[in-house]
Amino acid sequence: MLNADKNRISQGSTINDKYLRNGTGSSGTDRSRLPWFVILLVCVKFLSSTATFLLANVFTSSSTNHVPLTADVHYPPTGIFGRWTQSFHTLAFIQLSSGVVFTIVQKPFASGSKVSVSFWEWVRIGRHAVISIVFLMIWTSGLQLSGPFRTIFVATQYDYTLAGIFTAFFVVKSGPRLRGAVLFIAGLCVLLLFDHDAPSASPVQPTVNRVADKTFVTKRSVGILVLIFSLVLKLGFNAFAKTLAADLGGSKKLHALSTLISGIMLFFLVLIDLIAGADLFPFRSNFFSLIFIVMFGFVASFYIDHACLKRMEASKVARIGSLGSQISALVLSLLWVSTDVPTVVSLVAFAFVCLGTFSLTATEKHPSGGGSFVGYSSDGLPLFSFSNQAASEGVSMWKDVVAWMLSLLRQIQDDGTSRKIFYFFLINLTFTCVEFLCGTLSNSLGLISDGFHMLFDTIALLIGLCASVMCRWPPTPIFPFGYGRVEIIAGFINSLFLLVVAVVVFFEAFQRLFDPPTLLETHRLLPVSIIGLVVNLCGILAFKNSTSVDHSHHNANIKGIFLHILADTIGSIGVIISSFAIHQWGILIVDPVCSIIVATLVTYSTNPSPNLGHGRCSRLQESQVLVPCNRHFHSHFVVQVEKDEFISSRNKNTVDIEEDPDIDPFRKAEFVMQNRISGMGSESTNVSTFEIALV
Amino acid sequence: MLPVYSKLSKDSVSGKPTRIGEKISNLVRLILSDKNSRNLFLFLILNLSFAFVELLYGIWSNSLGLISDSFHMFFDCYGLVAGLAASIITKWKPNERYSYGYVRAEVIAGFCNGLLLIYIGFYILSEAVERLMEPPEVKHDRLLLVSVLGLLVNLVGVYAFQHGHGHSHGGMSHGHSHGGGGHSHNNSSSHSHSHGGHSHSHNGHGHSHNGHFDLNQIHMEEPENNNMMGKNSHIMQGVFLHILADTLGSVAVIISSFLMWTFGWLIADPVCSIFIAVLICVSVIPLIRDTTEVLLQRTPRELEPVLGGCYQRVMQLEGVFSVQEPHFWTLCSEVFVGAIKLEVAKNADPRYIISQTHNIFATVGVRQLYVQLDYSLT
Repeated sequence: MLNADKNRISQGSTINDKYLRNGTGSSGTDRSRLPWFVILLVCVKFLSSTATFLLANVFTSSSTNHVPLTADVHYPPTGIFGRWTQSFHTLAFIQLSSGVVFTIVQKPFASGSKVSVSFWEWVRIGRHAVISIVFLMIWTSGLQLSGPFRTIFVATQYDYTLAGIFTAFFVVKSGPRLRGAVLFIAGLCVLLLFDHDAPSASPVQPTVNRVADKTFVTKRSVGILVLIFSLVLKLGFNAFAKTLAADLGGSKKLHALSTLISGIMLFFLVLIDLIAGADLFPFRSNFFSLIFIVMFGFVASFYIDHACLKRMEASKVARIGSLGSQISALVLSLLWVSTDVPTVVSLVAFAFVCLGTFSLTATEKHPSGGGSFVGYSSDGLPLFSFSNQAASEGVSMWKDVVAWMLSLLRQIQDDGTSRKIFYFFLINLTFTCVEFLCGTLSNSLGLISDGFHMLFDTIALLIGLCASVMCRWPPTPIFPFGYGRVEIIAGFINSLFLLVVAVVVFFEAFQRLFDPPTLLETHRLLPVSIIGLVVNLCGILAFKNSTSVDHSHHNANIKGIFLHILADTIGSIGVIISSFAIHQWGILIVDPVCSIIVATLVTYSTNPSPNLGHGRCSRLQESQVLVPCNRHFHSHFVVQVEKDEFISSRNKNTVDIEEDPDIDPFRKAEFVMQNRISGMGSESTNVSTFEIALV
Repeated sequence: MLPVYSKLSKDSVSGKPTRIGEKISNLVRLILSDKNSRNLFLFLILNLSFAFVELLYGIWSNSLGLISDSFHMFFDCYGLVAGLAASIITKWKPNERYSYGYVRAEVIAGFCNGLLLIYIGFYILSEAVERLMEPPEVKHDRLLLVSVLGLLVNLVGVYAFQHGHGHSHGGMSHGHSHGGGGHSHNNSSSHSHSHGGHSHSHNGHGHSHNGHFDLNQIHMEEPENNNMMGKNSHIMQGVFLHILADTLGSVAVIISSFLMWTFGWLIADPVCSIFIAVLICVSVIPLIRDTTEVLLQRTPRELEPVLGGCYQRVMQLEGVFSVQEPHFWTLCSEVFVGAIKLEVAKNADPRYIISQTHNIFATVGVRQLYVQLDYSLT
């Protein structure tokens, strides 16, 4: 509080002052009793969940009434939107009417007109409107694909929660937030991976899902994926819309204008669509439900969020709001007649997500938390007091992440080696993704297991990439020796993994030697391994150059990556040879024999990898002999970091020598020692120890 | 103190059989001398005998599944073997190649075990995803028996190693002050620089410096075996995690076979496997993080909160102007090494400053400290 008072005095901004006082005053009141806006928030969240269910209902009813033909017979889609027609029309109606309501309530042209909107700002609002249309379209398709229950508990999240996930992984890294983020993501993963057995349990879903059930990817999990994508999009979008809102004077005004504009745009698009020959969405039959959706799903929830954010901390709003909407979604999905009953898996996922949200929105118990909270708002411009502080924290967080990624990209581009690794990593990553996608789509097990293999290679490359970027970071107080050792560790990890893989392959081959599998899918493995061979050969060529030219001395990281690629190449060659032999001559024993040979080769090639350059200490010993009074030597700990660079404390007498790259480090050491011997000769009483490690 | 080598001593040992027998008996004695390695060794023997029994029974009953499971058991033992090897290696004496000794084998063993566990988690995950697509027929009756037995064995391991791992974080309170000789060398001003001498604490090796510098040295006699020996906490943590992962695996097999048996849920097996894989990976992360930080020479986490106070106290010593370029790092668990440069006044008392600095840092547990004095010209 003292801090806040100081800030208030020092800043003297009236708007800020007002908001500060407002905030502190109301936080005093909401401790005493349950305030009215909390009750209102829960009610509105329940109603907006109902609205989402209604919307889904509208979609399903219209699709069953109107366009069953397009689903079955694959009619040429009418109009310019094809199968998106109905969602487009509905969206146009919703956006237009909610835009009108917003405009009436907010009066952006009258009340907030102290800042006149310039042309450039109109363009930005238009852009905002277009992006929000895209966002809404994605959300709607997610809703259609995965049903209202999953949509609500996946996609109806506050910015605070989403920003909390990012902070949990990049900033805080411990405590309830990380737990919450892990739970949240686990819930999403559960939903993505296991929800596909759901339709078999619920008899409500007709043939469409029965067909989809055969393949690994269902309509529903695609919908969840789309919704997750829209979540990420929403976070970024809101973060960048904050500046626009600040320029316009309030996010409410921006929202009103952008909704109106997007409504008008959609309206014209629908007009064009009608002219092009589509039949109009049956508005009349669904009019009241649409009005309900507009009023509660879009307008009221927006306003109640803002009202609550002004009166409470963002974490509380996010907790109450999202938990309210999630629980009401659960209740509604149990009560609602026409939707399918939530399955066990989705309930588990629901519990995960709920718990995750709960701990993500836990109020921080930092002793400094409260102080910095107030201080941040007063440090920032008055514009931040319109929105909540935590959301603006999320904004800065998001921008930090973006800036961090950009700087990372720049760092990668700076160095030739890391650039090479990066490109090769990208190639491998695309190959992996393609394999996974093809495998899941064609439901082929061989492709997926090979995709996991490729994923492993990609991880190895990622480790190498991280190492090659990190080793150039400057020392920090926490890492006083710099990050040069990352390269060695990365090389170590890579060669260790190779060794493990070789051992595993050896064991499997041994098993197969006694019990050869009768059926091998050679025809499927052959093309994949040939493509893999080509990719790996590219890698070998690329890295062979860099190992021979750039790094004449050892670089454990590059060596590890090179070995990994080499092992993969050997493996592909082995697979090709063995599948060829089996195909031509039917010799089943070739496969395990090839595997054993490959494993041996890989093991052999790994052997010299973690060589950290010994044998130089003996030269050090020789240089010690130069010193006459050698009994005063204590142990000499030469901590070799990398590239023969000794740890140096940058003593004044050695700086000039050290920066000369041409001098051999051992010459340096000798030089310094000679220097000291001469010094010792004059004042021998004081010197007893030389520390070469600290030259 | 330069190392002196004689090749004769090695060659003089004659007679191979006695040498090997001697070696083995030495090794066993070495293993049994330490509590941790003794535990490891006994548990390894337990595991191996279990695997052997399985293998023999498998060969006798001609069941391929049992044989492959016994191979799996043998493969599982490698974590224990690695831990045992590392705990022996850490006891090797320093030599001219490895001047710090082999104490860091502990960190590397923990790191390797963590990496291998990550690999195992990854492997289980990939297998589980494959099985999720095509749930195979699992013969749960035999599997259940084997996994219950495995669970019992592993539970013994978990109880045995929980002790060793539990109290390994307590003791950094015994701060001995290791006196180094406070040696400084005030260079004549003909050089444009002044360079400090070095003080250097040396642990153990209870010998005194004879010669003309004795007055500069504050000697702490230390027991020989206490020098630079960590408590092998990383090894034990890695092994513990390994056994825990195995235990979780058996539990998963039991649960999933129960579910498959009673409810016929074929999906229970891959779901349990995925859960276990994630659990393994999450539980390994702290170990990997700790060991990586040690290998990257991070400023020790344990010292981080107290170092600032130490710098303050050093700066308050008479004649010390500033503390520069502090480098603190972990040699192995609970053995911290530091190097620090002090800018001191021209007429400062080096003995006093160095011994006091050593005392200050010894109280927080830095066993080895290099102090370099930089005499300011003014």
